[in-house]
Order: sequence, then C-alpha cells, then structure tokens
Amino acid sequence: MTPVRRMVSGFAIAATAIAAACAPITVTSFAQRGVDLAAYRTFAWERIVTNVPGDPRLDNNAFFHDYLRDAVERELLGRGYEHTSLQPDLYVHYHATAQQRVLVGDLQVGSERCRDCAAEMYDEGTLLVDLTDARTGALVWRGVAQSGLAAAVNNQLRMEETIDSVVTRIFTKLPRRS
Amino acid sequence: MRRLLIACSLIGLAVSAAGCLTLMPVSSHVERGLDFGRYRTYDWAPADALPLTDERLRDNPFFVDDVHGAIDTELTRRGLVRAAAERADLFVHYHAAVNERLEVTARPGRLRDCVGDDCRAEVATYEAGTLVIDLVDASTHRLVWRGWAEHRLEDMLDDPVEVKRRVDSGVRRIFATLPLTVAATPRRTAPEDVR
Repeated sequence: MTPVRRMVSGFAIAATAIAAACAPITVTSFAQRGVDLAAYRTFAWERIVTNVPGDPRLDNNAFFHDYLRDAVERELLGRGYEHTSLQPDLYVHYHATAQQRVLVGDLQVGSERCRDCAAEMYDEGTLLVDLTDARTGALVWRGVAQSGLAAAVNNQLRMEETIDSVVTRIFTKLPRRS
Repeated sequence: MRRLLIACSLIGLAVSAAGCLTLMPVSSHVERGLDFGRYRTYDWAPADALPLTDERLRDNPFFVDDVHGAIDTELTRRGLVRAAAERADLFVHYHAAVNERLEVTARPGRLRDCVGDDCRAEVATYEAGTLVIDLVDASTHRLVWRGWAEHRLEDMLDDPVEVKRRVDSGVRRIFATLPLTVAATPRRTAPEDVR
C-alpha cells in the first residue's frame, strides 16, 4: 500500500470513528395499552439467545452479555422490581443486533447545495428489552435503543460505558414502581 | 454547536488513533483481575454452536490448518503446553465469519460546499472476515479471554500463501493483546499426556 493510500485509509478510519463518537443514542418504548406496569412486582430472566446478528465479536461473548444482563437487572431493581426465580410476574428478555448505517452531513433541504455533506458509514447497535407477562405470555413493554454500541466493542471499557448509558436511557421510559 | 462538533471530532480522533496505525482492527475482552500465569496447559475445545460460517472457509483445509497452527504457535510461545482434555487448564476454540460490509468510496462533498451531482457519494460492498479466538477456563467453563481480528477478504482465499500470511499475522496480533505471564518459566519437560 502506498503512503498516500495508507493516509487516505487512515483518514477514512478517523472519519468513521468521528461518526461513531457522535452517533446519538435514540430511545423509544412501547407499552401495552390498558396494562398497569406498576402492578407487576417480580421478574425473572427468559432464556437469552446470545448470538448478535451482524457482529461476530459479540456472538456468545460472555463479557458483553453478562455486563448487559447486570445493567438491565440493576435498572429493574432501581425501579422497584424484585428479582425472583420462582413464579415471576414478568419475564425479561433482550435482543441485540448490529448493522451499518450511513451518516450524511449537512444537507440543505429544498436545495441542491450541500455544505460539508460527506457521507460516512458507521456501526450501529440496536438493543431491544422486552417485558412479558409471565402468566399470559403477552408482551407488555418494549424498550428500544439505537446507538454507536457496535463501534465501541473494540474497547472493553468503552463498551461497558456505552451499555450503561444505553440501558439507563432505555429504562427511563419504564414507569417506576411506587 | 461549533464547540460540540469540535469536541466530537477530538473524541473521534482520539478513539481512532489506534485504528489509524493499522488496517487490521484487532482487539480483545478479558476477565479482569484474573492471573493468567496460573494456566499451564490447554486443549482444543469441541466446536461451539458457531462454526466457520462461510463455506469457502469451512471447506478450505489451508485456512483451518493455518488457524490451528498459528494458535498453537502463539500459545506455545507463551509457555502453554497442549494436554489431554482432562488435564487442560484452558480450552481454546475459534470461529470465523464473513460479512458483507459497505464503505463510502467517494466523498466529493467533504469539507467544502458542493452542488447537485458533485454531492453524490459512492458506496461499495466488500467482504470482511472476522476471526474470533476464545480461551475458556477448563474448571469453571467461563470465557476468560476473547480476541479477534477483522480483515478484508478480497481474493485472499484463492491464494494459500496469502491466507497463511494473513492468518499468521492476525493470530500473532490477536495474542499480543493477551495479558499472559505464564511464559516466564516455561516447563522444561512436557507432561506425560501431551499429544
């Protein structure tokens, strides 16, 4: 590889990391209408499938899944739910995936002119956390977050920090038990 | 806003600094606080539920042999000795995956204004190979270290010499991230159960 190509590649990697560093965390949640989430008290884990489509680094990766599971448990406990292994009110389940996204710069809508409108690829992670009624099996709450998690995986500490912030953000959408 | 963009750029550049030094991203996760010096022996674990996911890799004896050979070499270099499963301190296994990825190949609008077609970016696909190596504590069956390397495959798989060169380099760099101190006093004689 020539020095010029190496430099161009270096800039491309830097630009991708810039995009990842700036990728915002977007969070949404869905609650089953008519369900009083505060009426549930205890939770248990449903069996988690530990493959992560789109990111072989995270497939069966105990460092990722254990940390994520602990973060989810911490948030549920913090919101007044209790962990149990016997006849829970709720089952908890999560699913993580990774995909590439295109980040487009400052496109001026309604104009053909663009200022610094560069396009960059970045790795985005999607995390779904589901709460299911243990008695009926019905999904009662789903939290969804999209973030630059996949880009953080190459640094274990950054990955853990990202998991913490993503999970915290997801659970701000879940009503706290009084 | 300007300050935010500058801050993001600095963060991004700091994060990418290591990446700029190499074109083959390599990294690992490790069980914190674990003394790797306690491990002396290893064996190959049975394949897990994630075998080689691409038939060109799975059916390529050069690739499989090269990966096994390179991992054996790196573990031996660190003083670990291969032993029968019941005597092994660590189990080793690996998996390899091939994913199609996208990259932006033309960025005409970068850092300047552009108009109309000049703003068009070009995106191309390429195949990225990821080799993941796991070390599992044989007594607890817990994953204690996972290292990986990612590389563009391009036409590498058609060239056994290139496959070996890339695998050797990738495995060597993956193991360079392993905080193993067991090599300090390598055993002079191999245990009886060494294969």
